Amino acid sequence: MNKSFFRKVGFGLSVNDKVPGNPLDWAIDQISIIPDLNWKGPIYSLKEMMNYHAEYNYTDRRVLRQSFKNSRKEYKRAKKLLKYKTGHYYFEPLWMSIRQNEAINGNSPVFHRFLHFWGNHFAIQKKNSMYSYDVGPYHREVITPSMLKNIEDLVYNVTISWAMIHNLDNSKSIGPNSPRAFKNMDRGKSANLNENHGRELLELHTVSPSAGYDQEDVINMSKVMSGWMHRIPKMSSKIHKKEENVPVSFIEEYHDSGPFKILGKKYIESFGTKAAKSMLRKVIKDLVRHPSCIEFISHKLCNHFVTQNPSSEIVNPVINAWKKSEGDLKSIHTEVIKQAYKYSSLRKFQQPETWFIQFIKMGGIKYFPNNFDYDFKTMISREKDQIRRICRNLGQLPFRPLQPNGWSDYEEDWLSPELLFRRIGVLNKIKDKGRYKHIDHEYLNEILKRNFDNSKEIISFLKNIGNDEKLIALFSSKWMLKT
Amino acid sequence: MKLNRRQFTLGSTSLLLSGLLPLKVKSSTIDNKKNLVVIMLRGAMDGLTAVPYIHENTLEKVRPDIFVKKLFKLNSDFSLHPKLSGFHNLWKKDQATIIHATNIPYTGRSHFDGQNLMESGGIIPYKTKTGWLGKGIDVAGLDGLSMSLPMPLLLRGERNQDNFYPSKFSMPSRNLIDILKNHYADEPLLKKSFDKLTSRPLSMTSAPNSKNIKTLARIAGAELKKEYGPRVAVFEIFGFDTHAAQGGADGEHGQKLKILDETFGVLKKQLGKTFDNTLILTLTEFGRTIVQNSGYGTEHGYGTAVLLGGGLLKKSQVFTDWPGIKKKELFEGRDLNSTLDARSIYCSAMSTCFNTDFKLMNKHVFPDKTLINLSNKIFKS
Repeated sequence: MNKSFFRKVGFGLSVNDKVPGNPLDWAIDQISIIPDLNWKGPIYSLKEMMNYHAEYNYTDRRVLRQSFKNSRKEYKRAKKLLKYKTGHYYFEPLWMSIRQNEAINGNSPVFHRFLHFWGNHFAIQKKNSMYSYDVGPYHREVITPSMLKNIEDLVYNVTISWAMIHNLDNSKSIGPNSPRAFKNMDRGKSANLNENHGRELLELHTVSPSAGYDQEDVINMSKVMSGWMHRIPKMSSKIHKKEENVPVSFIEEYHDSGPFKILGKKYIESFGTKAAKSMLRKVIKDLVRHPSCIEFISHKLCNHFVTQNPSSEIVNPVINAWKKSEGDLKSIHTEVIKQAYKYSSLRKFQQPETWFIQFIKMGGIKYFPNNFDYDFKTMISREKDQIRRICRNLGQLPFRPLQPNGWSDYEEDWLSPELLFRRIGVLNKIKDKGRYKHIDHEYLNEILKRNFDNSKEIISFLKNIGNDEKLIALFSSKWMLKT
Repeated sequence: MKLNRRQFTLGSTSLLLSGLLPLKVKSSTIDNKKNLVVIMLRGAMDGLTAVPYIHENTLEKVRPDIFVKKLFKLNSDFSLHPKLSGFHNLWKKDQATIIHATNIPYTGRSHFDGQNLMESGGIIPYKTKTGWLGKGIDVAGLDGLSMSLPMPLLLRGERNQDNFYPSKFSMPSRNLIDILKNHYADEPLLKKSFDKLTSRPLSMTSAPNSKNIKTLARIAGAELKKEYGPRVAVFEIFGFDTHAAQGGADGEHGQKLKILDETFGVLKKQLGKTFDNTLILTLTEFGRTIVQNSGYGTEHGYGTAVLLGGGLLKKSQVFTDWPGIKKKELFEGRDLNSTLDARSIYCSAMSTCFNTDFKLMNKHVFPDKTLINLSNKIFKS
């Protein structure tokens, strides 16, 4: 039996979970359908969240800054009230609670482990309060529905999502051979490409630098992407209060007409909007079939789910599944799961959030507040903000990576003295709050029996530790830090 | 004051840790231990509010509602914001320098790209995943101790750094600590981190009030003062993005400058004699527009000023190739121009503080450009 598998591809088993008779089937079944939501609290659509963000941006920029230009204190006070009104402090803890509730109490923890992986692969870095309003619904309405499709769909849907377009500045890009560039030229204005999104699409989201692309490839990729943007409505228009929080559309006026050359392949655009609009999809189709993309993402998946720096013996079956299925995500995920099962004796250092969710789930710790309703008038309670505070203290706010390449998946980046201390410190603090009272000898044995093959060894390790610290010891142990 | 408004980061000498250098070199280097403190001013610090150009009242005319009065006069052309009174005291002691009309080579006016570049030291946003200070520490062969969670890009290098950040968390019982020590024995990285954790000095085990900037600065000062202690500290001050209610002396920008001034003050006091071997300098992503906007604030601009303090400065001076602020002299007709790539300042500062050849530093840290070595003009030899 390879019980660490339940932690490798999921979040471990709680004492209330039924022990799966066939772990592989248990895991593969979960990635075969989009799971229903277990969360019973409030939830908002992407459209609603964009409206909240728009109200925040518009009121701050166009109303408060004008109304309180003479008084710093009044401006700050008004802005704080605006933040309450638009749920500025509320939405990040809410979306984090939804995310972690599905991992802990949902029926498909394996699906959610893969969702967390892709959310980090297609990271939205900390910018413009997006962590509060946009990242949660982006995971739920852009990434989640794409996870049973082809990798091409996933990359394409992410690439043209508002969150990614805004995060990587594609709305600021103007194709040099576009009607807008020619107009600007006539008016003596410049028109430049913004290469940020084009570069990251190649470097981080698909082929990686190992494909050997150069600056010309980045420029050409950016040209292909030009025109995919959100355009801030004119002040005179009916929807001007939306600021930049309007859906992404393809605006041909800004699109470069090509021809393009990316990684040695020429792309010539035929006449018409339809052809111009479909060019990005054509290029993405080729990118996800490129050997470097297949190798890069397969390696990254195995690095996350199996072991750090996985050998080709581990990665190759995933590469083969990708090629054979032509990028079908279910086939790719299935092969990753099989490798995690086959090599479950190899260990992998867990990122702080994953480790903490495992602790809550396996330890049966009371964690979520009784309700998540909010009046949009006052500061949210400490109880509701707890999830965010804990993750901040652990050094990993999942919706706020500091770089576009997301949170690191390498042991070295998470094993500094302070970050190790934070894990032990959080466990200790929760003990001080009296939340381990249900952990008796029998309960602990049940956790060990379900989740570890070496339960005898662990019992021996725990024998000289006081009852109130046994859970701290277990979750600080090398077997939990490295699963 | 909130903890997340500012942090500080310390880098420590590797000499004690590596043990690879001969005693003679170690001793000589320690004798010359020089500290470098970088204060990141996030949000775009307005160089013309901190150090206004007062000649011909040009600035006052375009900023009628936010021009600061009762300034400290520095010379016939420049004055200092009244909230920078501590910095002015340094000026009087030949321990303050302002480098004006400078910026990193970035004109895009995006905070995110700008802050990425001010930390990475590169010219293309997000292309480099390490920071100029981290790379400089690598070149000089130092180890780092970051007092932040997580590590700022500025200090990221190729090598791993140690880190600490004040918190209210506590360790478990001594019994459990001892058991974990044995337990991690066959996990080299875990063991190394846990050993460091359990052998921390008292100043790092009794958690201070982490919300107090003065406490953080005091800890930094105490660590920098140690002979074998850290030699790099990094602070962050947020909130310079004053699109509205920038105000005069008591406005939002002034309040942020006051925090900067307090940071200089606490470090000066805590460092004592070590201040003579210390250089403190500021870093921001860009300046702000010359003209005030309708919300009595300013928009994103280009050129700004870098403030330097410490005993390693040659003298008090406003160092600038002043481009002027008349309409035709402005960058794109709206911003103070930059006549000096600010990376020349940072490269010179690292070269001086880390006792490392300027050209070597330039080549490895800022390889895209041959920068100007300002060491002889700004710093004591």
